[in-house]
Parts: sequence; structure tokens; C-alpha cells
Amino acid sequence: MHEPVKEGLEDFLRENGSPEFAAHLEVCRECRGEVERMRELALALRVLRADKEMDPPTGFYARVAARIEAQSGPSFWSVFLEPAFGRRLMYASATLVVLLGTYLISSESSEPLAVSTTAEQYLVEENPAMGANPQQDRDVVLVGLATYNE
Amino acid sequence: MAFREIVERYQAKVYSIIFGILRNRNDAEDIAQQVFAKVYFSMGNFDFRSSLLTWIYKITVNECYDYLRKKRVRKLVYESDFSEEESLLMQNSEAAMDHRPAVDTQLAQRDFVLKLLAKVSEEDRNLMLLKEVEGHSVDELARMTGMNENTIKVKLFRARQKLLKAAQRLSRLPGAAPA
Ligand SMILES: [Zn+2]
Repeated sequence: MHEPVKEGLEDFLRENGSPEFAAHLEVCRECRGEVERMRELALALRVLRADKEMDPPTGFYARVAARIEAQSGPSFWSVFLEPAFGRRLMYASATLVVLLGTYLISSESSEPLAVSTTAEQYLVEENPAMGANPQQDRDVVLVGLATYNE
Repeated sequence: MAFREIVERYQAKVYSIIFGILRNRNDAEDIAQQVFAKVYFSMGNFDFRSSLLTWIYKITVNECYDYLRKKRVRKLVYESDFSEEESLLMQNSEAAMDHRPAVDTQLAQRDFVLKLLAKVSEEDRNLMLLKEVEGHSVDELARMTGMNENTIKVKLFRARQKLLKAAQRLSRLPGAAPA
């Protein structure tokens, strides 16, 4: 393709171009053919144009936020489950097991059940300071729960 | 600008670009979500020389091509959903007999154009789409990309030449539809 046509091509494809451009095409078959193919190509690309701008279905932002959360991996949860918070949550769950176990024991039999023993051992393992005095331990757990609720 | 504002400002644009390329609403929603997730995670890589829209546009087209690579263009064409008008034509068997070739031709043309654009670089593809599909002028493209008008013209010209060469090669393949 010749230089003046190369330079004027974008204007030509947009709004038919300058008289000089047209004059060159009149006399140059080579440029005429290539410009015509480029014009056809430009038109063909328009098949990808959406007929009108349209919104995604409502609630799109919430779905984007959910996706981001899902893709954020463990680092997202670590913000919420920082060690102290996580430990408290663990104690709270363990206490629930102990309380449930105690309830079951007192309502069904006087024999201690494995479930409460296991939960208590669990607490002892996780916190070496616990286990020496049951009353003190309960206080520690209750303080833990109260802090958690705050 | 807060992330929520970015999503709300550009969601229709992004969704429409994807729908224009793929013609499938479910996939458009899924890819649009992924585009904004990418925007969220790569905000730090945004180069302020180009406009936010140009950057989001680039991510959008890349996500579409990622999807096409995974799903393969030919299979996608048959899964596209049609416009209401086209669906009505398809439902009416008599009308479908008359109009089906037109619908098929359009699908084949889209398939061909997508394949063609897959043959050029990401930059060429984006420039051509912004120019011919989005309808931006050379000076708008210069402002959007931070390049000067002459550079845009030269890049567009080369991109057009590469696409024409790719079209010639693709047209010679069996089963390829002419643009
Ligand atoms: Zn010439």
C-alpha cells in the first residue's frame, strides 16, 4: 500500500477520507483492492458489537463480592480467626461439649461418660494452666466466653 | 474510587462487551464476575498512563479469550443464545426454514472473526476491538492508551494487515467461513 493511502486510511474508513485519498484510489488498483479488503474486515468485526448496553441481573455486586471472598483463600479467614480469637472459639466449643456431656450424665446416670472426660482432657492439653482446679477452670472458660461475646 | 463504585460504574459496559463477543447470558455473567475479581486483585498493577476503562476493557477481552481457549470456539457457537427475535424465528418452523441460513451465517461470521482475532497479539486485538467494535476514534484511542495519534494509526494499520493475512490463511482451511 502506498504512503498517502496508509496515512489517510483511518479517516477513509471513518468518513470516506480526503479528495487526495480518493484520487489515488482511482488510479491505483493495488491500493483500491487492499483498502476494500480492510473496509470489509472492519465491517465484519462489528458482528461482535452488542446491540445495546445492558446491565447484568440484579445483585451483581454481591455475587462479585462472594467470588472475591471465595478466591481470597486462607488469608481472608486469618483476619477473622487471628490466634486469640480462634483459641477462644475453640474453648467455647469445647465448653459446650463439656456442658452437654454434664447434662447428659446428670440426666441419665451418675457414671462419668467418655465424652465429658475427653473434652476436659482436650482443654487441659490446650491450656496447661487448666485442670488443677475445676472451679477455677470453669471461671477461665466463662471469662473466655464473656470476652468472646464482647 | 471505592471498589463498589468501580463495579457499579462499569458493570453494564463489561457485561455488554462480553455478551457482544459470546452471545450467552450465563457465561457473560460468570466472566463479568471474574473480570471484577481480577480488577480487585490486580488493582496494584494498574498503570495510570492508560484510562481505567482501557485497563478494564483489556482484562475483559482477555477473560473472554481465556474462556474461548478453554471451551473452543466451534463448540461455543452452538451454545450461544439467540436474541428474542431470532428465538421466535426458530420456534416458528416455517419462519425457521426461511431465516435459519441468515442466523447460521451470522454465527459462522462471529466464529470466523473470533478465530481471526485469536491470531494476532493481545495489543492488536484490543486496539481493533476498541476501534471497530466500540467505535472509538483515533484521538480517543490516543487519550485512552496514553500513546500519540500517529502511533495509534501505525499500530492500527499493522493490525489490519495482520488480520487480513490471517483471514486469507483461515479462508483456505476447510470448514472456515469467509468474513
Ligand atoms: Zn497505491
